[in-house]
Amino acid sequence: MKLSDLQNTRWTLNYPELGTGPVSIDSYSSPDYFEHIKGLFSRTWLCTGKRVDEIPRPGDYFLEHIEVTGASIIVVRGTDGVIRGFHNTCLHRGTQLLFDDYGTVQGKLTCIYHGWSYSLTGKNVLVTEKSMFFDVQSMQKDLVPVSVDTWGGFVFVNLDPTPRESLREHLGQELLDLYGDYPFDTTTVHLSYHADLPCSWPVLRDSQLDGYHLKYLHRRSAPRFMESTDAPDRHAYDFKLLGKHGSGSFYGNRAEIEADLSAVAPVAALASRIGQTLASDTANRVDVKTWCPGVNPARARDWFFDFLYLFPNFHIVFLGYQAYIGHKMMPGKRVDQASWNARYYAPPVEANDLAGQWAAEYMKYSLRDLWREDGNTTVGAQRSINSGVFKRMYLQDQEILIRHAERVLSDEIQAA
Amino acid sequence: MTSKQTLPAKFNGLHAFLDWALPTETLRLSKRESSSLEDIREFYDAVLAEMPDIIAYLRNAASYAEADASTRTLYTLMLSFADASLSMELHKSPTVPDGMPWEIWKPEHETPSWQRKPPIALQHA
Repeated sequence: MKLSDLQNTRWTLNYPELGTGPVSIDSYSSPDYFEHIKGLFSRTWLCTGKRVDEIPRPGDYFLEHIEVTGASIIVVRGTDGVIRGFHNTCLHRGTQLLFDDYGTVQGKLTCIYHGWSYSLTGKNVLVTEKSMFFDVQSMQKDLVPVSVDTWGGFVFVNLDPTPRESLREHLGQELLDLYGDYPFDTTTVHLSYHADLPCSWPVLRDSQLDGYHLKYLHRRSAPRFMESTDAPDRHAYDFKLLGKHGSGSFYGNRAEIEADLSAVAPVAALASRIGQTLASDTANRVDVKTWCPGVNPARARDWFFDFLYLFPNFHIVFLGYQAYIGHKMMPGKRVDQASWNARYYAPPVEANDLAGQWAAEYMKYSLRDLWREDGNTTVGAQRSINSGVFKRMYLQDQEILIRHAERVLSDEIQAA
Repeated sequence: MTSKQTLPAKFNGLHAFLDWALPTETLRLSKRESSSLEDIREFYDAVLAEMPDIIAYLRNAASYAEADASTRTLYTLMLSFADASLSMELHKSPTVPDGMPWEIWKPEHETPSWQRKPPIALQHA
């Protein structure tokens, strides 16, 4: 497919319910609206960005901090291999049970304060000096559970212990069919960057929801990667609205990327050949016809990346057959605070391949610098919103996922 | 700290740049961000000339854990070179133009907590 084949396509017009007018920025600025967002994050499935391969053995755990509700969650693999989640709270005096963000416990969780212990199923197994307590039988002393499930090897949590829909219902059958065969299980996390930013969660969410900005904002860090002479105003091969979620597929100018790089950016060119970097010809490494149907749906040779937005808090950016980014975007304690965790996942690099390790580090630093460009836009936008000068957004067709995300957010809040 | 470091004998010509061979990503980036583009260019040009030999050397080296001290120093220098190359080839600046300050963007993979992560074991579906 050529981009110019899509010259007359306007995806937004296929969804009349989205409209084409300016989009309100209530969710970006209103403290009242923020209370609704807080409620949403207390009852919906949230992708942690952590993978099952990060806690592979019984007792392996990670902590998930959900600042918007104040929750600290222990996600731990039980002695039976099942992954469960609990509030990180001893039922005696409320002390936090674990303090390190990652680790391994030996079969049980023991509070440092007075030695109460819990099994990895959350059941209280020891109240020290039990005879000195009163009416032990009626004390609610098991850990407070949250819901945990996995998809594609990602661990999701839902603070509601009895969620109104399962994770699979939340994701929806169409999304499961499109992405279920992606080889997530051959990959693991390579790096993780984090920032607490003075911007609202929707501003941060939107920073990764359009393909329109790459040609401009990332003109230095991804030079001419998305510039098409065939159809200069177009970047997208496809958009899909998948229930609450959405996807987009984007053009990459392979000839430009490869020809230019070797001449003016020899190190970038070398790293792209030794390992997998932003400039690697990933669409040509594994026959695109064999890819899962969701990624590069046009089966285009000139392809750069796809993204998949998982409502409400996670974006997957597919860079190739076995390489993708995860952006976890979470609201903070106030309407104009948010946190961003960006991770990159790919097959592990062999420890005895120092050249490959170097190329993986090159990829790490190039992503780090590129993401700094994204982060910078959010802070300034929030200042404009807070000042009251900026009142509404005008969105073009290739920003349809922002329009959709705001609509879904509003619908979900009204449905509560 | 760097004065005691050595490089594999065949790369002794890069000895003048050993102050770039800093042990962590944060220290290396901090050096790049606070250097002049001229200093970065001098480092970049010198290593670039040796690049084919260095990559060949790394391909034949042991893992980082098993490598000797001079090989580790060369590898660490190459990590700084990756940072420097981004400045020279893409940003044309020691820092990221239009980017948020590097201190805000924290590498979780360099924290003590990350060091305590359980070993990865892929779980095939």
